[in-house]
Amino acid sequence: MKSSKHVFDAIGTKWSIEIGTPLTDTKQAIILTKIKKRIDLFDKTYSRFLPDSLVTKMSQKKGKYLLPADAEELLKLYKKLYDITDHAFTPLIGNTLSDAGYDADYSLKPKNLTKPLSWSEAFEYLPPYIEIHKPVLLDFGAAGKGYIIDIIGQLLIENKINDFCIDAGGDILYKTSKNESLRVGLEHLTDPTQVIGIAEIQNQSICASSGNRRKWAQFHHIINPNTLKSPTNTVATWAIADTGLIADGITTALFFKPAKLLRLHFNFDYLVVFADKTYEISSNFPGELYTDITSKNI
Amino acid sequence: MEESAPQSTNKSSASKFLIPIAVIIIVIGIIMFATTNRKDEAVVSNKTEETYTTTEDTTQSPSDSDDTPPSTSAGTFKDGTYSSDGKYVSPGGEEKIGVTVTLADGIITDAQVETKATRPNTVRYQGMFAENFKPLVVGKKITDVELSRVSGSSLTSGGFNDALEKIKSQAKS
Repeated sequence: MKSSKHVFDAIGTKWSIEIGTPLTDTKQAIILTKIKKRIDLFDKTYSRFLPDSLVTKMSQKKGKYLLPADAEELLKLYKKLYDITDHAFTPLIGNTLSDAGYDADYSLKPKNLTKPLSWSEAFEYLPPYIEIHKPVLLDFGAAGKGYIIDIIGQLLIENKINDFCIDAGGDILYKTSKNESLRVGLEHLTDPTQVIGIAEIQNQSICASSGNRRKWAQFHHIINPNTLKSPTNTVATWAIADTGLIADGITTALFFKPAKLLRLHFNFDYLVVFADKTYEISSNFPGELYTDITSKNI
Repeated sequence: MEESAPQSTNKSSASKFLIPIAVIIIVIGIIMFATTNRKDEAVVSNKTEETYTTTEDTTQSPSDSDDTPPSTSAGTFKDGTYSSDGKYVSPGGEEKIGVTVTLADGIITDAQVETKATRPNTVRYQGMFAENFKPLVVGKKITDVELSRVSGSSLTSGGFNDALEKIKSQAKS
């Protein structure tokens, strides 16, 4: 029995799951199968990129749909951030993203964009049912990845695995029973062989969002529904929180609203990097940032 | 503003380069002050009207609380906002420039430059400098840093990157 590492592709990203709790080979194989099944179920519910997902079905026909139990926490976070960000953070951005070219075929060819419907115009959520008033393509990309790493973390804990690191394409959930920190590099904006700093986390999640990468035409993967433009002043955000759901959601919300406002509602540490390489960092950020105190004029 | 003689232009650009040098010296001074004053009283939070100067004109804005000893964290520097005036000799004579630096956990989280010049050219150069003066993030090679993981989005969505490459090659052909 030894610690193990499992690497695989799912929901369009690379996963790496390290398990610190010693397990037999058989147990490892069983756990891995459970993990993959759970990710698959999540994908079949929330992915707007799958032709037979629940989200895709809701975009084709109005009516009443049964959502899985995990939807409640996800939609609760979305509603809270929707209200705090003046509706900029919204699951209703799906059609807009798709029209901008970030669609199921990754056409990356922008059409004319229209403003998304408001929450109440589009649907009503009375758990466990969602009543879709008008067919809309919901998008849970802003917090979904953080939420699935929480769900997988919960699955591991239920199986008595208390030491693990789940990394879904740079969004990380780390749990330890040994009081050990995980040193996480903060990826450089343009050069993946460099980092701009380090965060040390313990029983927390760190998530990142960057407008530099998934970028095409005049857009990146975040579009402000009020301006129908991708924010350009903020180029990268990191958030550290107790859950992946909050950390991931905050990284997107930081593109719309200042951290000061968001911190009135959520506990998190953060780093925001702006287009001119200046930055804002929370005063208790657990880690180190590499900076150069020289003027751009020098 | 117009330069009348070549000599004057040379003087002015020399003056321009004195500013960053002066500011770097002041920032080093502030950091030394922050190090030596770790055991000083008062944890800093807000700036107030009151500023008191040391020999190097370095001041630490006092907090609104009392003189309780600082809860010094693991960092080398005491958290706070520090201000300092620096003097340097421009081709036209002595000039002053103010620098304010905010330290949190040993990291400079904010820095501001205040123009305190009197000569028009120096005012202009200090203004240009002040507008652009901010600490900037820089990169270090992953191989030079001890890491377990990297948080970012370069690994995100292999399919997306493939599609982007395809479009780029289509655009070229």
